[in-house]
Amino acid sequence: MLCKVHLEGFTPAEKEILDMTFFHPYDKLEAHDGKLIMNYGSGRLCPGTNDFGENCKNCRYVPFVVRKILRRQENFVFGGKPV
Amino acid sequence: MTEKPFDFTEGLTKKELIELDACTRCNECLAWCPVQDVTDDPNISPPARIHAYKGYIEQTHTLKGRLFSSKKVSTAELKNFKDSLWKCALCGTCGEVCTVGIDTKKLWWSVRRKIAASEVGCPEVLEKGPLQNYHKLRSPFPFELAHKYKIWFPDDVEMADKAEIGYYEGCGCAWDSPQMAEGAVRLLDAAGPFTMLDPDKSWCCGFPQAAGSGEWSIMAELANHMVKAFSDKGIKRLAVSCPMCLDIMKYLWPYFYGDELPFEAMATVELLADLVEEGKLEFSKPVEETVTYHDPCAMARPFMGKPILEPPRKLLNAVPGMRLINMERHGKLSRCCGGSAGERAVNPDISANIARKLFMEAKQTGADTVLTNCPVCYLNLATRTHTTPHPVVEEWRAYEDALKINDITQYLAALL
Amino acid sequence: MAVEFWNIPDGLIKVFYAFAGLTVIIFVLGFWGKIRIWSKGMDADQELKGMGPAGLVWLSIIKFFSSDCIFAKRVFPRSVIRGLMLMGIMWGFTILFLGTAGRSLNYYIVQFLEGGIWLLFSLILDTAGFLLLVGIGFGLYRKYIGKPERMVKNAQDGILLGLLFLVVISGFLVEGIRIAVLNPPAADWSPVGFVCGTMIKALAGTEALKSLYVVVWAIHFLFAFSFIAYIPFSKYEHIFAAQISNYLFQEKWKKKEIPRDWVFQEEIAQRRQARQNAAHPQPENKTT
Repeated sequence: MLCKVHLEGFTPAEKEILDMTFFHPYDKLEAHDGKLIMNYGSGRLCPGTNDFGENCKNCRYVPFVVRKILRRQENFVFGGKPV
Repeated sequence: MTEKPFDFTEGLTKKELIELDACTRCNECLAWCPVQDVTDDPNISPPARIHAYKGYIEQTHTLKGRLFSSKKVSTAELKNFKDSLWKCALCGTCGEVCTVGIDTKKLWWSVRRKIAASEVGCPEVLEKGPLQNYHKLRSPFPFELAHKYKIWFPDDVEMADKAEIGYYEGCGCAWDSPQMAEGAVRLLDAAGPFTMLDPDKSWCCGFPQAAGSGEWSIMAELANHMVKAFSDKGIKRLAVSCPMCLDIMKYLWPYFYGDELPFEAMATVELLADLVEEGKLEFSKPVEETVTYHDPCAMARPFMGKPILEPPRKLLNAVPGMRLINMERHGKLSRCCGGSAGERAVNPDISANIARKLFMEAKQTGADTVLTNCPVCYLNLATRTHTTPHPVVEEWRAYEDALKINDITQYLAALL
Repeated sequence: MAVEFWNIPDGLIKVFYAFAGLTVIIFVLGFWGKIRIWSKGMDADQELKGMGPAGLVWLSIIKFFSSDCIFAKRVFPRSVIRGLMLMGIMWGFTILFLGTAGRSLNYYIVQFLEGGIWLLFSLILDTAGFLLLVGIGFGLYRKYIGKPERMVKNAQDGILLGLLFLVVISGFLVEGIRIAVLNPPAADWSPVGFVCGTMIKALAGTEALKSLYVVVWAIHFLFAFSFIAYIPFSKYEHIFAAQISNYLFQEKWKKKEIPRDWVFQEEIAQRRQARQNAAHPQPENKTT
């Protein structure tokens, strides 16, 4: 029931920071095929409307470090299961 | 050589000792206490604790005590008292409504300090977690301070090396609720130059140690280090995002530093409201929704000075189209979120249940968004961060879509 | 005019004085014990700075007569009816206590309770007693019948209210019986006593009433003295402390901004000195 967002192409240093960012019980990052799935948000499938929360009614805050990683991704996939 | 018996009066102020005798068991505070709201247990109510602690003093100091009871308070009794004491969220509502004006917030902090120094100590989960982390890292979180800004500090914001306006996010914002910090620096950046401490120097403010674990011995080093660090940056006005950091800065730092602070510590929303008045900040994007604002306990019932209730509302009213509804309990009697003072770690079920009550009250206003102004309020209202058994949290999640939770500075930063 | 010790045998009067003396000793010891503990506390407030035991005793007495206290200012915003109850008990008991002291003054030192003064005095005391009775009655009702949603229970609270209730009832009975037997003029200036007296007169004859009087009088002073002696060892010790706590409550800042370092003033000054000493150490005395 949570927005799923795939994270890829992050450096080990960034992974260290991601582990610090998501340390709450239901917040944990899931790993799948070299990609990380971030469980974050309002409870819907991410509609992929725009830039991470500023105009998305459903999105909660996505930490800056995560936004930086996502903006680098060419094939950034919003929502759904990882392919 | 016999050990000196534990002195329950030592270190308490005259006022606190008088207050222990002032309680009339009128039961007013039980009607307002958030912990009573979710436990209905009078044995852990403020009057029960006051009379218990008073009993320990009488047992060890008065003729009546020495004649009619054993001179020493039993360990079992103290353990019981400790459990009860750490169920309190230190929200201060009891003192606000007390019919004889007992300043319970100061009293509970002092009693926690006493019990932490006694044979029973503070709860183990706090001792082994935040307190140990502080001793090693100067932070209650298990992460190096060097990483403190890496989660949230945006690339497109410039931080000056020195400036008259400073910002201190606090550990809660750095690790738990980074949106507060990101929002705050974006807003400050829009108004002019600001500075922050080098992350290595940006220690914890001392609240989790002093209030959470009752450990005040770290405060002297901490206060002196932090005040020097802020002064070295040339800071005259310091914006502080976390209300608890602000509270302890005003209450305990001057005492341990030995002087008035050489800068003015204020809430970020206070400084921002000033900047709006000075014409240095304005909001251009209109909003089309209704919001409600939750007054954090440390702003509604601070230790020192006036409650900080007007500045955030002034800020919100500076946004075109803003419609603000207040909750039934707002201002000085605003609800506790249940997250502070170690409650999340020590009593997670009580913590989650208190937050749920707050959430429901916010939902009842019919607002689209509830704005918080504290990293712990935000955190505790977000259901995904609770460790309570599923039935409580799952039921609550069903409502989560109906009401958006956001932080006021992040919300406003998006409206620049 | 006031009639003291009417119909009371000498032996009982001696017991009365003995109890009175014992009560005063116990009460003072109890109050003093509290003051002793309070004065051990740290000086952290401007208002209490440097106050020793004498200062605290004076503060406790003087603040009892502050408007915050006698008008129960922090209770009324929470509940008007509880505010009225508190005022009834507080004013009622204080007036009766001062009134009894006045009667002792009148008996032993200077007779002033005569004529119009006596009548007014009687009226005030009866009214006070009545308010006290209403206050206690409401207190008992709230404790045992119309209970608040959440309550810290303590048997002591009920015992105290019950004891006080018996003191007042027995007091009115004493007055009533005396009025019934002596038939003093203008007895309706003691309205409650007068009503009691009228009801009692119908129940028994003069001799029976006179015997009953002694018993009720004894009960009255025994309960009254027990109550007074118990005060410092029960939750009623708040009559020493609550007015100070009220006075010091932070709401006072509304009237003027409290300076930032009002807490722990002396300790802050000491730390300031220590910092200055560390920053500018005194040169060592060099001896040749």
